[in-house]
Amino acid sequence: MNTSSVLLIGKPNSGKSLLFNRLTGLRQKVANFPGVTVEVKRGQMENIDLCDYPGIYSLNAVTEDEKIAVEKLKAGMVDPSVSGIVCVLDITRLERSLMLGLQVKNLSIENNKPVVYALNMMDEMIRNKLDFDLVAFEKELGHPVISVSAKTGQGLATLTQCIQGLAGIVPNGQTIAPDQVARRAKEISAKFMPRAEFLLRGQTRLDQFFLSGFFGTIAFAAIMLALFQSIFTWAEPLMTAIEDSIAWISTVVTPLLPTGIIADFFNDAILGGIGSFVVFVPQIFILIFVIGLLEDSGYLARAAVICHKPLSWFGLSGRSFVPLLSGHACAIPAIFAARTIESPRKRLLTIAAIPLVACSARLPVYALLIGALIPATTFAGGLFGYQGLVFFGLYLFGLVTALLVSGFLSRTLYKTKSDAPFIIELPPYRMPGFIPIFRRAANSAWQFMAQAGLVIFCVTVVVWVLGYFPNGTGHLETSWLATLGHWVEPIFSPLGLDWKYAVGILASFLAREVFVGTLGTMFGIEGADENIAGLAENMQNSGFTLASGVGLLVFYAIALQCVSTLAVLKRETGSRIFPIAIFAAYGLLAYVLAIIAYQIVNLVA
Amino acid sequence: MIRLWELKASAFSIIKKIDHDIPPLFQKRLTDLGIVAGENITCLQRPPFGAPRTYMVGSCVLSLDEEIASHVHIEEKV
Repeated sequence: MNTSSVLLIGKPNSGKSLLFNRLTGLRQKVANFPGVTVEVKRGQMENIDLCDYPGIYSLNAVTEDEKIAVEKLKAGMVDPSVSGIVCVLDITRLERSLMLGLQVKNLSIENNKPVVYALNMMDEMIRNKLDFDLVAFEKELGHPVISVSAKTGQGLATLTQCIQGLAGIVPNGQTIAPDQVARRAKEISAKFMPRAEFLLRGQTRLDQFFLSGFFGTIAFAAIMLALFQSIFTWAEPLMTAIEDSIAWISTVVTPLLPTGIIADFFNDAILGGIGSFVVFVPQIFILIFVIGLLEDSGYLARAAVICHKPLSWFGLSGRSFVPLLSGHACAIPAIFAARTIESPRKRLLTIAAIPLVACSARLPVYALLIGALIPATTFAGGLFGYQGLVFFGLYLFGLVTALLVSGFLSRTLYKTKSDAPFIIELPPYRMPGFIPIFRRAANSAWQFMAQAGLVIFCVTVVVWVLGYFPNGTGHLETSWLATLGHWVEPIFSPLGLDWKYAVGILASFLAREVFVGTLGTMFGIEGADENIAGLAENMQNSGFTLASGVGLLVFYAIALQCVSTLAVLKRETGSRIFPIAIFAAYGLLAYVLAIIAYQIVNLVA
Repeated sequence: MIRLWELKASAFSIIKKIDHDIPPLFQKRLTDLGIVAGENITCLQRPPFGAPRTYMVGSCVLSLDEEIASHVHIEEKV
């Protein structure tokens, strides 16, 4: 069957991505990362490949993601495999939508590519009992217009039918002179939506609260606190369930395996290595899910406004907020999300700061070290606990370091007088659709697990083989790994760490979370009891001190230990030097600060 | 004529002109968002400490910082 593609374009916040999800369902090739649509997503609609591009206001692209969308749109116009365009119009913001819609109409006529308009947000019209003359509107535009609601699903069947028959439509009508587009958009909007402001009342009332200096700041702080609290409280039952399942698998499967090398490999490498990482996937999922909820509710744009002034002190912009927040899930989509920043300088500063915020790959390491060092005491009626507070402190430490580094760079290496101003459209507040966000978060968590899982598995196998041979289980000290470990031990002995931790740290330069699996495997080989879930306990028994733990936490908070991030940094900055410089600088900073932290704790304790 | 940044909260005004010394790309962005001479513009909010202010133009709600809002000249409507 021949597959043709159809391009989906529209203004930012026009409900385009939700429409895309509705039209393609689960048949998407690339599950997107949290945050705004920054990459081209492709989804299948029977024999049609639907491509979703980042939102654009007009063909005048300002940001990197808009440039990509405009470039792809123009390329699609002359590509014979593209059968047409679906242009999404937001009926509640018709004039702004038509600025793009009429430019697309021009392109369509000039290139003889059919276009269909999806007039979205019809549910708002119904809710407010407003009428719309669709027939006259279609006549005015000279192209098919389908009224839809991506939220309720209304009109989607008709739109699908229209997309299927898109290739047969011949675009006609006259183009509009470029300098007349704005005037025409205003005229058409005034004619069909004379009471457009009426729909903004609810939004304005909410903004009076969320954007006010006092209540807005309190609301922002409360939402952020709730977000990070949710990572721990909501994930807790899931994590316990996974831990119990691993222990159960161990007790059920181990007796079935032939004793000796196979059972040892299963327990030490598979359950000890990968199992200790899988435990943290619920936290990653919840973080992505909550960020998705905030994004779809329209709140993230308000958060960007609230943060603009404080971020500007550090050379960043309000637009840096979403990338920095996404960075708490994973640096890679966050670096992509930085494409929405207009100023190339602020974009680079944001990209440099992102690897310092506490990403979810640091979570397993933090959780392990905190579990080994900090007592699980709670107070204030179980509402707060020492472990949770230390976690919060580490997130804060990452964020503060990121801001200080950015502030330093903006005053030294990246100084400039003129810069891009802050202009942001505030989208309407909407009730987020739980199911699409759940699906997106599950997809991202799965992708993350599959990618990280492969790396962890390979590293774990290598570590296990080196640690197991030549003398088998219980003889880690005489293994090949110990010989190698003793060579690198001097690098980390200033932190009071022995060779096992040195091996763990070195292995985790591939990806941070490898640290947990590597240590799990080593203690698994060493230990007589096969207590997989008790890695933290094993560490306590091995004489792991508070000072070394604090040093390690500082080291992991700063060092850029992620090969994938380095690759994306190279791609997004177009520079080979940038990732190398940032890797070396953060590595050195991490090492020096870790030693200082170790010495301070040693003095105090 | 005053600058948009000086417009008081809840006050109505009409856009008179936009300075030519802002980069052309951002001039286009303002046009895309409806900030053009002759349009009505209202200030919805003025949070303290020089934070970006919220404006409504047409059916669009925008947040602008001082850097851009001081380049837009308006006349207050009484």
